[in-house]
Amino acid sequence: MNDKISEIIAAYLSGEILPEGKRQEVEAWLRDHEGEKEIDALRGLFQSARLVKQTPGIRGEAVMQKIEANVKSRRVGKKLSIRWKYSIAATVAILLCCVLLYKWLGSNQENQVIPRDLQQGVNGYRAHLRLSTGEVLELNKYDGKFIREDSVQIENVNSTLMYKSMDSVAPVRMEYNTLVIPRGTEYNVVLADGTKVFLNAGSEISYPVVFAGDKREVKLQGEAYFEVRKDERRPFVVQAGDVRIQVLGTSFNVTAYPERERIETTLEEGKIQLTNGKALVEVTPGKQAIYNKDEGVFEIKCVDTKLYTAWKDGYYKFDQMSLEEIMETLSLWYDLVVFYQNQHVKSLEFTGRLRRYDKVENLFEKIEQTGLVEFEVNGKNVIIKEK
Amino acid sequence: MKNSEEIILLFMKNERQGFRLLYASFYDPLILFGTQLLGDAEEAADIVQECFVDFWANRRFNGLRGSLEHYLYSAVKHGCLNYLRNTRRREDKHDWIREKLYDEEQAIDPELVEKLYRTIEALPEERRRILHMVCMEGMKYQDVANQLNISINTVKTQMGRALQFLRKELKDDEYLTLLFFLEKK
Repeated sequence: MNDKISEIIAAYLSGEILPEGKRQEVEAWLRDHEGEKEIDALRGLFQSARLVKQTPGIRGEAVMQKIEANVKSRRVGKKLSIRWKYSIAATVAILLCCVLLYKWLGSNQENQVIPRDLQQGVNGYRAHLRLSTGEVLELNKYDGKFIREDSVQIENVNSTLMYKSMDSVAPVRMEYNTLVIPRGTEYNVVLADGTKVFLNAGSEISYPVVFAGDKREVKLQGEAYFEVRKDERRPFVVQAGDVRIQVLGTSFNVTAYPERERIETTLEEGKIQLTNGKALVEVTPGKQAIYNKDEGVFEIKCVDTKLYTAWKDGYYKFDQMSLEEIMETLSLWYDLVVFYQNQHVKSLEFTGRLRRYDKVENLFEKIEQTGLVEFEVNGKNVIIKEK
Repeated sequence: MKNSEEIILLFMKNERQGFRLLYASFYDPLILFGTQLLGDAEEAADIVQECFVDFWANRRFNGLRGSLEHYLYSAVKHGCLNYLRNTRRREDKHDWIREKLYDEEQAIDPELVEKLYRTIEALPEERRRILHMVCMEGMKYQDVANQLNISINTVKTQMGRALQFLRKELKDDEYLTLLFFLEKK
Protein backbone atom coordinates (compact mmCIF):
# COMPACT_ATOMS: atom_id res chain seq x y z
CA MET A 1 0.00 0.00 0.00
CA ASN A 2 1.70 3.20 -1.09
CA ASP A 3 1.21 6.71 0.24
CA LYS A 4 -1.26 7.78 -2.41
CA ILE A 5 -3.70 4.91 -2.08
CA SER A 6 -3.44 5.00 1.74
CA GLU A 7 -4.54 8.61 1.68
CA ILE A 8 -7.49 7.89 -0.55
CA ILE A 9 -8.55 4.89 1.50
CA ALA A 10 -8.29 6.86 4.74
CA ALA A 11 -10.43 9.62 3.27
CA TYR A 12 -12.93 7.11 1.96
CA LEU A 13 -13.27 5.34 5.30
CA SER A 14 -13.54 8.70 7.07
CA GLY A 15 -16.54 9.59 4.96
CA GLU A 16 -14.86 12.45 3.08
CA ILE A 17 -16.39 13.25 -0.28
CA LEU A 18 -14.21 11.90 -3.09
CA PRO A 19 -14.28 12.55 -6.83
CA GLU A 20 -15.98 9.75 -8.72
CA GLY A 21 -12.76 8.35 -10.22
CA LYS A 22 -11.00 8.11 -6.88
CA ARG A 23 -13.98 6.55 -5.22
CA GLN A 24 -14.00 3.80 -7.84
CA GLU A 25 -10.29 3.31 -7.34
CA VAL A 26 -10.75 2.75 -3.60
CA GLU A 27 -13.69 0.46 -4.05
CA ALA A 28 -11.74 -1.63 -6.54
CA TRP A 29 -8.77 -1.77 -4.16
CA LEU A 30 -10.96 -2.80 -1.25
CA ARG A 31 -12.58 -5.48 -3.40
CA ASP A 32 -9.16 -6.84 -4.30
CA HIS A 33 -8.20 -7.03 -0.66
CA GLU A 34 -11.47 -8.45 0.55
CA GLY A 35 -11.08 -10.95 3.36
CA GLU A 36 -7.74 -9.59 4.52
CA LYS A 37 -8.02 -9.47 8.26
CA GLU A 38 -6.12 -6.26 8.83
CA ILE A 39 -8.20 -4.42 6.27
CA ASP A 40 -11.36 -5.75 7.89
CA ALA A 41 -10.08 -4.64 11.28
CA LEU A 42 -9.38 -1.12 10.00
CA ARG A 43 -12.77 -0.92 8.36
CA GLY A 44 -14.31 -2.09 11.61
CA LEU A 45 -12.57 0.77 13.40
CA PHE A 46 -14.35 3.38 11.32
CA GLN A 47 -17.68 1.57 11.45
CA SER A 48 -17.49 1.22 15.22
CA ALA A 49 -16.62 4.89 15.58
CA ARG A 50 -19.81 5.71 13.71
CA LEU A 51 -21.78 3.39 15.98
CA VAL A 52 -20.32 4.99 19.11
CA LYS A 53 -21.16 8.47 17.87
CA GLN A 54 -24.74 7.49 17.12
CA THR A 55 -25.29 6.11 20.61
CA PRO A 56 -26.12 8.99 22.93
CA GLY A 57 -25.47 9.02 26.65
CA ILE A 58 -22.47 6.71 26.73
CA ARG A 59 -19.79 9.40 26.96
CA GLY A 60 -19.24 12.61 28.82
CA GLU A 61 -19.52 14.19 32.23
CA ALA A 62 -22.64 12.27 33.27
CA VAL A 63 -20.84 8.97 32.68
CA MET A 64 -17.89 10.10 34.80
CA GLN A 65 -20.23 11.01 37.62
CA LYS A 66 -21.98 7.67 37.36
CA ILE A 67 -18.68 5.83 37.66
CA GLU A 68 -17.71 7.95 40.68
CA ALA A 69 -21.04 7.27 42.34
CA ASN A 70 -20.70 3.53 41.77
CA VAL A 71 -17.23 3.51 43.25
CA LYS A 72 -18.48 5.38 46.29
CA SER A 73 -21.38 3.05 46.86
CA ARG A 74 -19.12 0.01 46.71
CA ARG A 75 -16.69 1.55 49.13
CA VAL A 76 -19.40 2.61 51.58
CA GLY A 77 -20.67 -0.93 51.63
CA LYS A 78 -17.20 -2.22 52.37
CA LYS A 79 -16.59 0.13 55.25
CA LEU A 80 -19.86 -0.81 56.86
CA SER A 81 -19.08 -4.45 56.59
CA ILE A 82 -15.75 -3.96 58.33
CA ARG A 83 -17.42 -2.13 61.16
CA TRP A 84 -19.94 -4.91 61.43
CA LYS A 85 -17.27 -7.46 61.77
CA TYR A 86 -16.67 -6.12 65.28
CA SER A 87 -20.00 -7.26 66.54
CA ILE A 88 -18.79 -10.80 66.49
CA ALA A 89 -20.91 -12.07 69.32
CA ALA A 90 -24.12 -11.01 67.67
CA THR A 91 -23.03 -12.37 64.35
CA VAL A 92 -22.12 -15.74 65.77
CA ALA A 93 -25.47 -16.00 67.49
CA ILE A 94 -27.35 -15.14 64.34
CA LEU A 95 -25.18 -17.46 62.31
CA LEU A 96 -26.06 -20.28 64.60
CA CYS A 97 -29.75 -19.55 64.15
CA CYS A 98 -29.22 -19.46 60.42
CA VAL A 99 -27.48 -22.80 60.35
CA LEU A 100 -30.32 -24.34 62.32
CA LEU A 101 -32.94 -22.73 60.14
CA TYR A 102 -31.07 -23.82 57.07
CA LYS A 103 -30.80 -27.40 58.25
CA TRP A 104 -34.45 -27.45 59.17
CA LEU A 105 -35.64 -25.92 55.92
CA GLY A 106 -33.27 -27.87 53.76
CA SER A 107 -33.86 -31.24 55.33
CA ASN A 108 -36.15 -32.47 52.64
CA GLN A 109 -34.68 -30.55 49.73
CA GLU A 110 -32.18 -31.94 47.30
CA ASN A 111 -29.07 -29.88 47.07
CA GLN A 112 -29.05 -29.32 43.36
CA VAL A 113 -28.31 -26.79 40.71
CA ILE A 114 -31.44 -25.07 39.56
CA PRO A 115 -31.78 -25.62 35.84
CA ARG A 116 -32.99 -22.91 33.58
CA ASP A 117 -35.35 -23.99 30.90
CA LEU A 118 -37.46 -21.33 29.30
CA GLN A 119 -40.28 -23.52 28.17
CA GLN A 120 -40.61 -25.41 31.32
CA GLY A 121 -39.53 -23.05 34.04
CA VAL A 122 -38.07 -24.30 37.27
CA ASN A 123 -39.64 -27.16 39.14
CA GLY A 124 -41.77 -28.04 36.17
CA TYR A 125 -43.95 -24.94 36.33
CA ARG A 126 -45.39 -24.14 32.96
CA ALA A 127 -47.09 -21.23 31.31
CA HIS A 128 -50.71 -21.93 30.54
CA LEU A 129 -53.54 -20.33 28.66
CA ARG A 130 -57.15 -20.13 29.81
CA LEU A 131 -59.53 -19.94 26.87
CA SER A 132 -62.87 -18.17 26.90
CA THR A 133 -64.55 -21.55 27.27
CA GLY A 134 -62.73 -22.05 30.56
CA GLU A 135 -60.50 -24.73 29.09
CA VAL A 136 -56.89 -24.56 30.31
CA LEU A 137 -54.03 -25.45 27.95
CA GLU A 138 -50.49 -26.21 29.02
CA LEU A 139 -48.61 -24.28 26.41
CA ASN A 140 -45.54 -26.47 26.13
CA LYS A 141 -47.76 -29.26 24.82
CA TYR A 142 -48.78 -27.03 21.96
CA ASP A 143 -45.32 -25.81 21.07
CA GLY A 144 -45.04 -24.99 17.38
CA LYS A 145 -48.76 -25.54 16.88
CA PHE A 146 -51.84 -23.51 16.20
CA ILE A 147 -54.62 -23.13 18.71
CA ARG A 148 -58.05 -22.12 17.40
CA GLU A 149 -60.45 -19.89 19.27
CA ASP A 150 -63.46 -19.29 17.05
CA SER A 151 -62.46 -16.77 14.44
CA VAL A 152 -58.90 -16.46 15.69
CA GLN A 153 -55.79 -18.42 15.03
CA ILE A 154 -53.27 -18.51 17.89
CA GLU A 155 -49.75 -19.49 16.95
CA ASN A 156 -47.52 -20.81 19.74
CA VAL A 157 -43.84 -20.69 18.79
CA ASN A 158 -40.66 -19.89 20.77
CA SER A 159 -42.48 -18.99 23.97
CA THR A 160 -44.63 -16.52 22.05
CA LEU A 161 -48.36 -16.58 21.44
CA MET A 162 -49.50 -14.76 18.34
CA TYR A 163 -53.13 -13.86 17.72
CA LYS A 164 -54.33 -13.56 14.15
CA SER A 165 -57.89 -12.64 13.40
CA MET A 166 -59.41 -14.62 10.51
CA ASP A 167 -62.51 -12.42 10.24
CA SER A 168 -62.42 -8.86 9.05
CA VAL A 169 -65.59 -8.06 10.99
CA ALA A 170 -65.20 -7.29 14.67
CA PRO A 171 -67.08 -9.73 16.89
CA VAL A 172 -70.26 -8.73 18.70
CA ARG A 173 -69.33 -10.35 21.99
CA MET A 174 -65.79 -10.12 23.31
CA GLU A 175 -64.09 -13.37 24.22
CA TYR A 176 -61.28 -13.19 26.77
CA ASN A 177 -58.16 -15.30 27.11
CA THR A 178 -55.93 -15.34 30.17
CA LEU A 179 -52.24 -16.16 30.00
CA VAL A 180 -50.73 -17.32 33.29
CA ILE A 181 -46.95 -17.26 33.76
CA PRO A 182 -45.77 -19.03 36.90
CA ARG A 183 -42.63 -18.08 38.78
CA GLY A 184 -39.44 -19.14 37.05
CA THR A 185 -40.71 -18.77 33.51
CA GLU A 186 -41.64 -16.11 30.97
CA TYR A 187 -43.73 -15.73 27.82
CA ASN A 188 -44.57 -13.22 25.11
CA VAL A 189 -47.85 -12.52 23.45
CA VAL A 190 -48.65 -10.58 20.30
CA LEU A 191 -52.25 -9.42 20.58
CA ALA A 192 -54.72 -9.24 17.72
CA ASP A 193 -53.93 -5.53 17.15
CA GLY A 194 -50.19 -6.21 16.82
CA THR A 195 -49.29 -5.01 20.32
CA LYS A 196 -46.39 -6.97 21.77
CA VAL A 197 -46.36 -7.91 25.45
CA PHE A 198 -43.34 -9.44 27.24
CA LEU A 199 -44.49 -11.13 30.42
CA ASN A 200 -42.19 -11.63 33.34
CA ALA A 201 -42.26 -14.46 35.87
CA GLY A 202 -45.23 -14.70 38.20
CA SER A 203 -47.62 -12.69 36.03
CA GLU A 204 -51.07 -12.97 34.57
CA ILE A 205 -52.71 -11.07 31.73
CA SER A 206 -56.28 -11.13 30.39
CA TYR A 207 -57.17 -9.72 27.01
CA PRO A 208 -59.88 -9.97 24.39
CA VAL A 209 -59.10 -12.45 21.64
CA VAL A 210 -60.09 -9.75 19.16
CA PHE A 211 -60.46 -6.11 20.16
CA ALA A 212 -63.84 -4.52 19.57
CA GLY A 213 -65.33 -1.13 20.38
CA ASP A 214 -63.43 2.11 20.86
CA LYS A 215 -60.90 0.84 23.40
CA ARG A 216 -58.29 -1.88 23.60
CA GLU A 217 -58.32 -3.02 27.18
CA VAL A 218 -56.23 -5.62 29.01
CA LYS A 219 -55.82 -6.57 32.66
CA LEU A 220 -52.44 -7.25 34.23
CA GLN A 221 -51.10 -8.73 37.45
CA GLY A 222 -47.33 -8.94 37.84
CA GLU A 223 -44.83 -7.46 35.43
CA ALA A 224 -44.99 -6.84 31.70
CA TYR A 225 -43.32 -4.73 29.06
CA PHE A 226 -45.70 -3.39 26.42
CA GLU A 227 -44.95 -2.28 22.88
CA VAL A 228 -48.31 -0.88 21.92
CA ARG A 229 -49.26 -0.71 18.26
CA LYS A 230 -50.27 2.83 17.44
CA ASP A 231 -53.96 3.41 16.84
CA GLU A 232 -55.16 6.99 17.36
CA ARG A 233 -58.81 6.00 17.30
CA ARG A 234 -58.62 3.22 19.85
CA PRO A 235 -56.59 3.95 22.99
CA PHE A 236 -54.89 1.01 24.67
CA VAL A 237 -55.71 0.59 28.36
CA VAL A 238 -53.90 -1.51 30.94
CA GLN A 239 -55.76 -2.08 34.18
CA ALA A 240 -53.19 -2.99 36.86
CA GLY A 241 -54.77 -3.17 40.31
CA ASP A 242 -56.33 0.23 41.01
CA VAL A 243 -54.28 1.89 38.33
CA ARG A 244 -55.55 2.48 34.82
CA ILE A 245 -52.90 3.24 32.24
CA GLN A 246 -54.07 4.75 28.98
CA VAL A 247 -51.89 5.09 25.88
CA LEU A 248 -52.10 5.56 22.15
CA GLY A 249 -48.92 3.87 21.01
CA THR A 250 -45.77 3.62 23.12
CA SER A 251 -43.36 1.31 24.94
CA PHE A 252 -43.54 1.00 28.70
CA ASN A 253 -43.04 -1.38 31.59
CA VAL A 254 -45.58 -2.09 34.32
CA THR A 255 -44.74 -3.79 37.61
CA ALA A 256 -47.87 -4.61 39.58
CA TYR A 257 -47.36 -7.65 41.76
CA PRO A 258 -50.29 -7.94 44.15
CA GLU A 259 -48.04 -8.59 47.16
CA ARG A 260 -45.99 -5.41 46.66
CA GLU A 261 -47.02 -2.01 47.97
CA ARG A 262 -46.28 -0.15 44.79
CA ILE A 263 -47.30 -0.24 41.17
CA GLU A 264 -44.55 1.12 38.95
CA THR A 265 -45.02 2.26 35.38
CA THR A 266 -41.88 3.17 33.47
CA LEU A 267 -42.11 4.90 30.13
CA GLU A 268 -39.53 4.47 27.37
CA GLU A 269 -41.32 6.13 24.47
CA GLY A 270 -44.45 8.13 23.72
CA LYS A 271 -46.89 9.43 26.31
CA ILE A 272 -49.17 7.75 28.82
CA GLN A 273 -51.89 8.76 31.23
CA LEU A 274 -52.49 7.09 34.56
CA THR A 275 -55.44 7.31 36.87
CA ASN A 276 -56.76 5.56 39.94
CA GLY A 277 -60.23 6.99 39.39
CA LYS A 278 -59.45 10.10 41.43
CA ALA A 279 -56.08 11.49 40.53
CA LEU A 280 -54.79 11.68 36.97
CA VAL A 281 -51.13 11.99 35.99
CA GLU A 282 -49.28 12.16 32.71
CA VAL A 283 -45.91 10.55 32.19
CA THR A 284 -43.26 11.46 29.62
CA PRO A 285 -40.36 9.27 28.41
CA GLY A 286 -37.58 8.51 30.89
CA LYS A 287 -39.96 8.92 33.82
CA GLN A 288 -41.58 6.49 36.17
CA ALA A 289 -44.93 6.79 37.91
CA ILE A 290 -45.04 5.07 41.28
CA TYR A 291 -48.42 4.41 42.73
CA ASN A 292 -48.58 3.79 46.45
CA LYS A 293 -51.47 1.41 47.06
CA ASP A 294 -52.01 2.30 50.71
CA GLU A 295 -51.99 6.04 50.27
CA GLY A 296 -53.57 6.03 46.81
CA VAL A 297 -51.15 8.62 45.45
CA PHE A 298 -48.88 8.85 42.43
CA GLU A 299 -45.30 10.00 42.50
CA ILE A 300 -43.32 10.77 39.34
CA LYS A 301 -39.56 10.48 39.13
CA CYS A 302 -36.81 10.47 36.53
CA VAL A 303 -35.18 7.07 36.11
CA ASP A 304 -32.77 5.14 33.96
CA THR A 305 -35.46 3.14 32.17
CA LYS A 306 -33.02 0.33 31.40
CA LEU A 307 -33.07 -0.59 35.07
CA TYR A 308 -36.73 -1.50 34.70
CA THR A 309 -36.86 -2.89 31.19
CA ALA A 310 -33.57 -4.80 30.83
CA TRP A 311 -35.22 -8.04 31.96
CA LYS A 312 -36.98 -8.39 28.63
CA ASP A 313 -33.62 -8.29 26.84
CA GLY A 314 -32.22 -11.05 28.98
CA TYR A 315 -30.40 -9.24 31.74
CA TYR A 316 -30.93 -7.38 34.97
CA LYS A 317 -29.43 -4.03 35.67
CA PHE A 318 -29.16 -2.69 39.19
CA ASP A 319 -28.06 0.76 40.19
CA GLN A 320 -27.43 1.15 43.91
CA MET A 321 -30.32 -1.09 44.66
CA SER A 322 -30.78 -2.77 48.02
CA LEU A 323 -30.14 -6.47 48.22
CA GLU A 324 -33.72 -6.95 49.33
CA GLU A 325 -35.05 -5.36 46.13
CA ILE A 326 -32.58 -7.31 44.01
CA MET A 327 -33.56 -10.59 45.61
CA GLU A 328 -37.25 -9.78 45.21
CA THR A 329 -36.67 -9.68 41.47
CA LEU A 330 -34.39 -12.70 41.32
CA SER A 331 -36.60 -14.87 43.48
CA LEU A 332 -39.47 -14.53 41.03
CA TRP A 333 -37.35 -15.60 38.13
CA TYR A 334 -35.47 -18.38 39.87
CA ASP A 335 -38.33 -19.29 42.19
CA LEU A 336 -36.39 -18.88 45.40
CA VAL A 337 -37.25 -18.34 49.04
CA VAL A 338 -34.80 -15.89 50.55
CA PHE A 339 -33.69 -15.55 54.17
CA TYR A 340 -31.48 -12.81 55.48
CA GLN A 341 -29.03 -13.08 58.32
CA ASN A 342 -30.11 -9.69 59.60
CA GLN A 343 -31.78 -6.43 58.62
CA HIS A 344 -28.51 -4.86 57.65
CA VAL A 345 -27.82 -7.40 54.92
CA LYS A 346 -31.10 -6.46 53.29
CA SER A 347 -30.08 -2.86 53.01
CA LEU A 348 -26.66 -3.38 51.43
CA GLU A 349 -26.63 -1.71 48.05
CA PHE A 350 -25.26 -3.11 44.83
CA THR A 351 -24.70 -1.87 41.33
CA GLY A 352 -24.15 -4.00 38.29
CA ARG A 353 -25.68 -6.21 35.70
CA LEU A 354 -26.56 -9.86 35.76
CA ARG A 355 -27.47 -12.15 32.94
CA ARG A 356 -30.94 -13.51 33.31
CA TYR A 357 -30.30 -16.86 31.67
CA ASP A 358 -27.31 -17.61 33.80
CA LYS A 359 -27.38 -20.28 36.43
CA VAL A 360 -28.43 -18.68 39.67
CA GLU A 361 -25.18 -19.79 41.31
CA ASN A 362 -23.20 -17.68 38.86
CA LEU A 363 -25.24 -14.62 39.75
CA PHE A 364 -24.67 -15.21 43.43
CA GLU A 365 -20.99 -15.66 42.79
CA LYS A 366 -20.90 -12.26 41.11
CA ILE A 367 -22.54 -10.60 44.08
CA GLU A 368 -20.23 -12.50 46.44
CA GLN A 369 -17.22 -11.10 44.61
CA THR A 370 -17.88 -7.76 46.25
CA GLY A 371 -16.74 -9.43 49.45
CA LEU A 372 -19.78 -8.17 51.35
CA VAL A 373 -22.07 -11.15 51.50
CA GLU A 374 -22.18 -14.88 51.19
CA PHE A 375 -24.95 -17.04 49.75
CA GLU A 376 -25.94 -20.44 50.91
CA VAL A 377 -28.22 -22.30 48.55
CA ASN A 378 -30.15 -25.34 49.49
CA GLY A 379 -32.70 -26.27 46.86
CA LYS A 380 -35.12 -23.37 46.68
CA ASN A 381 -33.93 -21.78 49.90
CA VAL A 382 -31.27 -19.14 49.94
CA ILE A 383 -29.66 -17.73 53.04
CA ILE A 384 -27.73 -14.53 52.72
CA LYS A 385 -25.07 -13.80 55.29
CA GLU A 386 -22.80 -10.93 55.88
CA LYS A 387 -19.10 -11.56 55.44
CA MET B 1 3.49 5.60 26.57
CA LYS B 2 0.49 7.83 26.93
CA ASN B 3 0.07 9.24 30.46
CA SER B 4 0.07 5.80 32.00
CA GLU B 5 2.60 6.40 34.72
CA GLU B 6 1.13 9.79 35.43
CA ILE B 7 -2.31 8.24 35.87
CA ILE B 8 -1.05 5.71 38.39
CA LEU B 9 0.93 8.31 40.34
CA LEU B 10 -2.01 10.68 40.36
CA PHE B 11 -4.32 7.91 41.56
CA MET B 12 -2.04 7.36 44.53
CA LYS B 13 -2.02 11.04 45.40
CA ASN B 14 -5.56 12.05 44.56
CA GLU B 15 -7.89 9.33 43.34
CA ARG B 16 -10.42 11.67 41.84
CA GLN B 17 -7.88 13.44 39.69
CA GLY B 18 -6.33 10.14 38.73
CA PHE B 19 -9.70 8.92 37.58
CA ARG B 20 -10.31 12.07 35.53
CA LEU B 21 -7.04 11.58 33.69
CA LEU B 22 -7.72 7.88 33.22
CA TYR B 23 -11.10 8.71 31.74
CA ALA B 24 -9.71 11.39 29.44
CA SER B 25 -6.95 9.12 28.20
CA PHE B 26 -8.62 5.77 27.83
CA TYR B 27 -12.39 5.91 27.94
CA ASP B 28 -13.07 6.70 24.27
CA PRO B 29 -10.52 4.31 22.77
CA LEU B 30 -11.74 1.54 25.04
CA ILE B 31 -15.40 1.87 24.13
CA LEU B 32 -14.40 1.96 20.50
CA PHE B 33 -12.43 -1.22 21.04
CA GLY B 34 -15.35 -2.89 22.81
CA THR B 35 -17.79 -1.74 20.15
CA GLN B 36 -15.67 -3.31 17.44
CA LEU B 37 -15.69 -6.61 19.32
CA LEU B 38 -19.39 -6.56 20.21
CA GLY B 39 -20.98 -4.63 17.40
CA ASP B 40 -22.94 -2.74 20.07
CA ALA B 41 -21.81 0.55 21.59
CA GLU B 42 -24.14 0.52 24.58
CA GLU B 43 -23.02 -2.88 25.79
CA ALA B 44 -19.42 -1.90 25.18
CA ALA B 45 -19.85 1.25 27.27
CA ASP B 46 -21.34 -0.79 30.11
CA ILE B 47 -18.37 -3.12 30.08
CA VAL B 48 -15.82 -0.30 30.01
CA GLN B 49 -17.61 1.54 32.82
CA GLU B 50 -17.66 -1.59 34.93
CA CYS B 51 -13.95 -2.02 34.26
CA PHE B 52 -13.28 1.56 35.45
CA VAL B 53 -15.43 1.15 38.54
CA ASP B 54 -13.60 -2.05 39.41
CA PHE B 55 -10.22 -0.45 38.77
CA TRP B 56 -10.95 2.41 41.09
CA ALA B 57 -13.10 0.79 43.79
CA ASN B 58 -10.66 -2.08 44.25
CA ARG B 59 -7.58 0.11 43.91
CA ARG B 60 -6.12 -1.95 41.11
CA PHE B 61 -3.53 0.80 40.58
CA ASN B 62 -1.73 -0.56 43.61
CA GLY B 63 0.62 -3.29 42.54
CA LEU B 64 -0.40 -3.39 38.90
CA ARG B 65 1.53 -6.10 37.12
CA GLY B 66 2.50 -5.07 33.62
CA SER B 67 1.45 -1.83 31.96
CA LEU B 68 -1.78 0.04 32.51
CA GLU B 69 -2.74 -0.19 28.82
CA HIS B 70 -2.23 -3.88 28.85
CA TYR B 71 -4.37 -4.24 31.93
CA LEU B 72 -7.21 -2.09 30.58
CA TYR B 73 -7.33 -3.64 27.14
CA SER B 74 -7.24 -7.16 28.53
CA ALA B 75 -9.97 -6.38 31.03
CA VAL B 76 -12.27 -4.96 28.37
CA LYS B 77 -11.47 -7.75 25.93
CA HIS B 78 -12.30 -10.40 28.50
CA GLY B 79 -15.43 -8.56 29.50
CA CYS B 80 -16.59 -8.52 25.88
CA LEU B 81 -15.71 -12.12 25.13
CA ASN B 82 -17.43 -13.31 28.28
CA TYR B 83 -20.44 -11.30 27.37
CA LEU B 84 -20.59 -12.83 23.91
CA ARG B 85 -20.02 -16.31 25.18
CA ASN B 86 -22.66 -16.13 27.85
CA THR B 87 -25.57 -14.08 26.61
CA ARG B 88 -28.39 -16.06 25.30
CA ARG B 89 -31.08 -13.76 24.13
CA ARG B 90 -34.42 -14.42 22.70
CA GLU B 91 -33.98 -11.81 20.04
CA ASP B 92 -30.32 -12.28 19.55
CA LYS B 93 -28.93 -9.25 17.89
CA HIS B 94 -25.42 -10.47 18.54
CA ASP B 95 -25.85 -13.58 16.46
CA TRP B 96 -24.05 -12.18 13.49
CA ILE B 97 -21.08 -10.97 15.47
CA ARG B 98 -20.79 -14.23 17.35
CA GLU B 99 -20.92 -16.11 14.06
CA LYS B 100 -18.11 -13.90 12.88
CA LEU B 101 -16.13 -14.50 16.02
CA TYR B 102 -16.32 -18.22 15.80
CA ASP B 103 -16.50 -18.76 12.08
CA GLU B 104 -12.93 -19.64 11.06
CA GLU B 105 -13.28 -18.25 7.56
CA GLN B 106 -13.97 -14.60 8.31
CA ALA B 107 -13.25 -14.53 11.99
CA ILE B 108 -12.91 -11.28 13.92
CA ASP B 109 -9.70 -11.91 15.73
CA PRO B 110 -9.91 -10.26 19.17
CA GLU B 111 -6.12 -10.31 19.48
CA LEU B 112 -5.76 -8.52 16.18
CA VAL B 113 -8.34 -5.91 17.14
CA GLU B 114 -6.59 -5.40 20.47
CA LYS B 115 -3.33 -4.99 18.62
CA LEU B 116 -4.97 -2.40 16.37
CA TYR B 117 -6.02 -0.25 19.31
CA ARG B 118 -2.75 -0.57 21.12
CA THR B 119 -0.96 0.41 17.94
CA ILE B 120 -3.17 3.48 17.72
CA GLU B 121 -2.02 4.37 21.23
CA ALA B 122 1.53 4.12 19.96
CA LEU B 123 1.05 6.52 17.03
CA PRO B 124 2.91 9.82 17.19
CA GLU B 125 0.88 12.32 19.19
CA GLU B 126 -0.29 14.53 16.34
CA ARG B 127 -1.25 11.63 14.13
CA ARG B 128 -3.17 9.99 16.93
CA ARG B 129 -4.98 13.22 17.72
CA ILE B 130 -6.05 13.67 14.10
CA LEU B 131 -7.22 10.08 13.84
CA HIS B 132 -9.19 10.55 17.04
CA MET B 133 -10.82 13.74 15.85
CA VAL B 134 -11.83 12.24 12.52
CA CYS B 135 -12.87 8.90 13.94
CA MET B 136 -14.32 9.52 17.38
CA GLU B 137 -15.54 13.06 16.97
CA GLY B 138 -16.62 12.44 13.38
CA MET B 139 -15.05 15.69 12.25
CA LYS B 140 -14.55 16.52 8.59
CA TYR B 141 -10.96 16.97 7.40
CA GLN B 142 -11.57 20.69 6.87
CA ASP B 143 -12.78 21.17 10.46
CA VAL B 144 -9.81 19.29 11.85
CA ALA B 145 -7.48 21.46 9.80
CA ASN B 146 -9.18 24.63 11.06
CA GLN B 147 -9.11 23.59 14.66
CA LEU B 148 -5.47 22.49 14.69
CA ASN B 149 -4.48 25.36 12.45
CA ILE B 150 -2.86 23.13 9.84
CA SER B 151 -3.58 22.65 6.14
CA ILE B 152 -6.16 20.16 4.94
CA ASN B 153 -3.35 18.46 3.03
CA THR B 154 -1.53 17.75 6.27
CA VAL B 155 -4.66 16.12 7.64
CA LYS B 156 -4.91 14.03 4.49
CA THR B 157 -1.27 12.95 4.67
CA GLN B 158 -1.39 12.20 8.37
CA MET B 159 -4.52 10.10 8.02
CA GLY B 160 -2.96 8.23 5.11
CA ARG B 161 0.19 7.55 7.09
CA ALA B 162 -1.73 6.50 10.16
CA LEU B 163 -3.67 3.98 8.09
CA GLN B 164 -0.58 2.69 6.34
CA PHE B 165 1.28 2.32 9.61
CA LEU B 166 -1.60 0.50 11.29
CA ARG B 167 -1.99 -1.87 8.39
CA LYS B 168 1.71 -2.63 8.29
CA GLU B 169 1.85 -3.28 12.01
CA LEU B 170 -1.14 -5.61 11.89
CA LYS B 171 0.23 -7.41 8.88
CA ASP B 172 3.72 -7.83 10.32
CA ASP B 173 2.15 -9.30 13.35
CA GLU B 174 0.43 -11.91 11.25
CA TYR B 175 3.65 -12.85 9.51
CA LEU B 176 5.32 -13.20 12.85
CA THR B 177 2.74 -15.58 14.21
CA LEU B 178 2.87 -17.54 11.00
CA LEU B 179 6.67 -17.86 11.16
CA PHE B 180 6.49 -18.84 14.75
CA PHE B 181 3.94 -21.44 13.92
CA LEU B 182 6.06 -22.92 11.14
CA GLU B 183 9.11 -23.06 13.34
CA LYS B 184 7.26 -24.87 16.04
CA LYS B 185 6.27 -27.55 13.57
